[in-house]
Order: sequence, then C-alpha cells, then structure tokens
Amino acid sequence: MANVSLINLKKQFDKSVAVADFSLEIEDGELVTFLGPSGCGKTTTLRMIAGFVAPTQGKVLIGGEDVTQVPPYKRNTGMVFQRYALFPHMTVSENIAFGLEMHKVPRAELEQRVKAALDMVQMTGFKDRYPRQLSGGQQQRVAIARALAIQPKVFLLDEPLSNLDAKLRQEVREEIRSLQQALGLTTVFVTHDQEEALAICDRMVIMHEGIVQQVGKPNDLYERPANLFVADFLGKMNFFKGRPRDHQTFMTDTGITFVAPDLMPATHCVGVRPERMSLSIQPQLENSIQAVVAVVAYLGPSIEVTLKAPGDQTILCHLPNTSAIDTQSLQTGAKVFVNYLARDGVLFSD
Amino acid sequence: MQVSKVMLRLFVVLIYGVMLCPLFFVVWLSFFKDAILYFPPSGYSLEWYANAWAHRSFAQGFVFSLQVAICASLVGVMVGVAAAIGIIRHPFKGKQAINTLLLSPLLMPGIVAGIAIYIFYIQAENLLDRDIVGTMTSLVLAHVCLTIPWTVRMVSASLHGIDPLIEEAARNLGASSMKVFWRVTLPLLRPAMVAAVLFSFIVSFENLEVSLSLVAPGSTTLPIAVMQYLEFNLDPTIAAVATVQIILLGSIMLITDRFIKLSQVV
Repeated sequence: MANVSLINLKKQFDKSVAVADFSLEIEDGELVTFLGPSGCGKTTTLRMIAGFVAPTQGKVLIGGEDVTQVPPYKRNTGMVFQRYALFPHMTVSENIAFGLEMHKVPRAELEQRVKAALDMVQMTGFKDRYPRQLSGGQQQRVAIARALAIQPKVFLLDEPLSNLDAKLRQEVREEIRSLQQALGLTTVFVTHDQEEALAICDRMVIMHEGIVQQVGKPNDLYERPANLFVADFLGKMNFFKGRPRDHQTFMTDTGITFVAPDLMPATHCVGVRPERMSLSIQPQLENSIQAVVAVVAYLGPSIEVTLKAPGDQTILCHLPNTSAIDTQSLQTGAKVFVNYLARDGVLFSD
Repeated sequence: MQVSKVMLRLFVVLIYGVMLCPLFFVVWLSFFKDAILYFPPSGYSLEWYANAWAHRSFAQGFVFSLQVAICASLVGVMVGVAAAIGIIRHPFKGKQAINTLLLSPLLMPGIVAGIAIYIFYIQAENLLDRDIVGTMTSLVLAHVCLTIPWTVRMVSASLHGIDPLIEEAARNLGASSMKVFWRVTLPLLRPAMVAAVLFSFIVSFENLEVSLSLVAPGSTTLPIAVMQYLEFNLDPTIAAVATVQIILLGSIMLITDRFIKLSQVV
C-alpha cells in the first residue's frame, strides 16, 4: 500500500479543460470518493492515476515515487470498471490469474493467491464459469478479486456499482468498504451517486466542470458546504437569497426576515436543509416563516412538503414519518409556519 | 392472418428456390449421360467425373488454386487484423479515407483490376529487372488485394464489439501492449478471423477475372482451367468439376461452423 499525491494535475482535450489544477494528498489506507455530475472530470482524474490518460500538466506520485511518465502496466494499480471488463474468453480463475501471470508470480503461489482472491469475494464455487454465466453482481465481485489479487498499491474504482440494481448496490458497496478496511487499501472511488459517496468514504472530493469544489469528511461537506454547488449537489437545500440587515438579521430578496448568527456583509445567501425544518400551526423556534402548503409527497421514511412563502419563495421541508405526524393539516393550501433553528442556517458569501 | 402466413412461407420458398436452382442444376447435370445437353437425359453416368479426373489441367489447377487461396487468405487476414486495429482502436486523420480505400477492390471490375495489376507488375519488372508476372507470389499478392475488403470488414465489425475497457483492464493488470494483443485481443477476434480466412479463401479460389492476366502458361488456376476447357468442349465435365468444388467448399464451411458459429460473425 502507498499514499498517493496528485500535484496540480491538469488535463485538456483539445480546447476543453477536463480537469483544472487538481491537487490532493491521499493517505495510506484511506478511501477517497470523487463525486460530481457526469463530465466533471472525476473519471479523467482516476484515469490519470491509473495511467490511461496522460496529464497535460502536473504530477502523479504513488508511494512518493513520480509515476507521471510510467505506463499503466507498470504502475501496479488495481482498477475496477463500471462495465466489469472481465475477459470473456477466460474462466473466473483464469481472469484472476491473468494479472498474477503478468507479474510473473510462480505457479504454486499463483494458485494459492487465486484461491485466496476467490475466497475473499465468496466466488470459489464459480471458479470454472465464464463471465457470461454470471450475474452482474457476481461479475463485479470477480472484477474486484482480479484487481486485488495483484496486491496493488492503489485500488481504483470507476463507478463500480452503477450497473447493479439498488439492493445489490448497497451489498457490494458494503463488501468493498469492509475489504478496503480489512486490507488497508489506499482507494479512490469514483461515483455520481451522492449517497454512495457519503456512505463509503473517509473523505470525499466534490468536482464540477473540472474544478475541485470541496474536499473533506462527509459530515463536513454536508453540514458546511463551501459553496452553493456543493450544497445543492450533496442532498437538498433551501436557499434564501438576499442580504444581511445587521449582524444578526438577514432579509431575503422576497422580503422575509430571519435570524442568522455571524452574518457578514458579503453573505448573499442562507441555506437550510429540508430535514432541519419543521411545520406548525403557530410559530415556533427562533425562525418561523409563514407559508402555504403546495405539494405533499409521501416518500416512506419521510414526507416531503413543498411550500410557497411570500414573494414566490419555494421551501422544501422533510418531515420524519413518525406516528405523531398530523397529516390532517398537511393539505394543499393549508397555512402553516416553517420553523428552524438559527444555527441550522448555512451562510454563503462571495 | 392465415393467408399472410401462407404467403410469407411461399415467398421464402420461392427465394430459396431461386438461390438453390443453379446449384441443383449443376449437380444434376454432372450425372447426365449425354455429351450434349438436352432434356430429359437419356441416362445417368459417372463418366464425366472420370473425365475430369483424367484431365490433368483440372487437378493441377485445383492444387495451384488451393495453394494460392491458402496463402492469400492467410496473408489477407493478417493485413486485415492490422488494418482493423488501426482503424477501430486508434483515431487518426484520414481514417475514413483509408477505410474507403481498403474497400475499393470491391468496387472495381475484376478484369480492370487484373489488367491494372498486370501493367503495374510489368513496370516493376522493368525497374527491378526480375520476373514478377507469372510467379505465384505475384498472384498471391493480387489475390490479397481482393481479400482485404472482406477481412478488414469482418475483423473491424468484431473488434467494434469488443469493449476497449477489456483491453484496458489487461493493461492495468500488468500486460504490455504486445501481451494485451496476444492474450486478449487476438483470442477475442478468433471467430472473426476464421470467418475472414474462409471468405478470403473462397474469394481467391473462385477468382477468374484478376487471375486471367496474371498467370503464366502451364500454371493456371482452376477457374482458368475450366474456362479454357469450355472454349472447346461443352460436355458435363465442367459440371462435375463444379460439383466437386461445391462439395469441398460446402464441407469446409460446415466443419468450420461446428467450431465457430459463422452466422454470429458474418
């Protein structure tokens, strides 16, 4: 295992910049997710670590060694792809043995390591099958075993769960995480699924249009998003645009005033997560905004209420689905108060 | 519903009838007793097969055609694989132009191509001061040109269906470009390559127009031997030769199909 340093990485395809000035230190044994919408440069960055894409500028260091000019087959990274990419003409064991043969592992050791890799992903019973005889989840397990059998310095996963159905996705995700922790693998996990990214990682990188928006622990990013993009991309957030009236009060462009701590002159937006809001007939908490219920959507664990506040401000509110919930008053057109604590407001400045 | 189904069946039968009719008649004629064809035959015999066997130019032509076709199809498939990998896997300027160029032998009348190649060879002979026209190598090379459109097309189609990620995965696992080619790409292309060899073999084996201007006296291909025979004879010997050829090529295809499903490749 090894740490990975990305230093001022840049990739330009013709005139479009895919990745602009990406720097990151990934510690030994750490799992970092790259999250962003498609085309944000996350896969390109991963491919630069693997060596499939040559950076226009910058360096890739694996274990302190500069590998920027090293071809992919000499980098010793283990990669798992979205479309599995198993060798269709080889059995499961042959697929896993391939990397070991390329690394000239002696026969006896090779067989042992293939067996160990199969055990690791619980695919021993399938060792003589061909990829086409396996389900998607099984194929991806084999791909994981194949990548890990070579004992790579870095484990790279490019949207490995995107082709699996929801239930399997969580199952394989948990397996990847427990394998990664058990083996202490330095791992980069690329995904566009925010829940997946949050659940699996130690730290995450949020990217947009080739630019790193924020790097940090999941709760840091969720609770204290650095900008509107991160706030909006990671979960949902109500944005109140406006300007501070004084140190304590904020007034939206639509004319709503509420309390927010530590306002600065440059603050132009206050964001509040929908699940930090509650509804009531009478005003409660420090901040209460009068609004009219527009849409009520039953989501199972929670109820999503869309409200209209004065000045056409839309407010989204997630109520936990407890037995105490009063569905009677949650009718379209009902006049209610949206309440939240001042400290739950996230401030955005220029 | 019923009527349309019957109509469809009839139509299918008709199409197959049209396709198989010449084959059927060639085979049937080869057993006619009479030297001059007329219906109905006065009887059946195997004497034309004996006659074909006795006529040494057929046997020699057959062996020569076989040699040329084997060489041309093997060389052709190698060129085809190389060209297909270049065109499909490596984007470059003028790729479409080269792709079209490689298909051009299909567009040119065989007789014109044959004469053009002949003139080219003569020029080359003058320049290099050595025999080119009439050698087997020169004929094989000409046939390779004919087979290229087939091999490039078939291998390209197959390569198109191979996910580049599979080759990438191999590189990631420590395989150099050569290793990726030998261990991953080539095995995956094998069905297409076998089909390409088979098609090239047939294209080369039955070619008349191009070979016509390139063979030397004494070493002719089977189709030329057949044509020469036809100039002076009109008996069913030719039908017997054709029947043998049909059976030979048909069995090669059937045997190949047992190992590689040609219908999936072509």
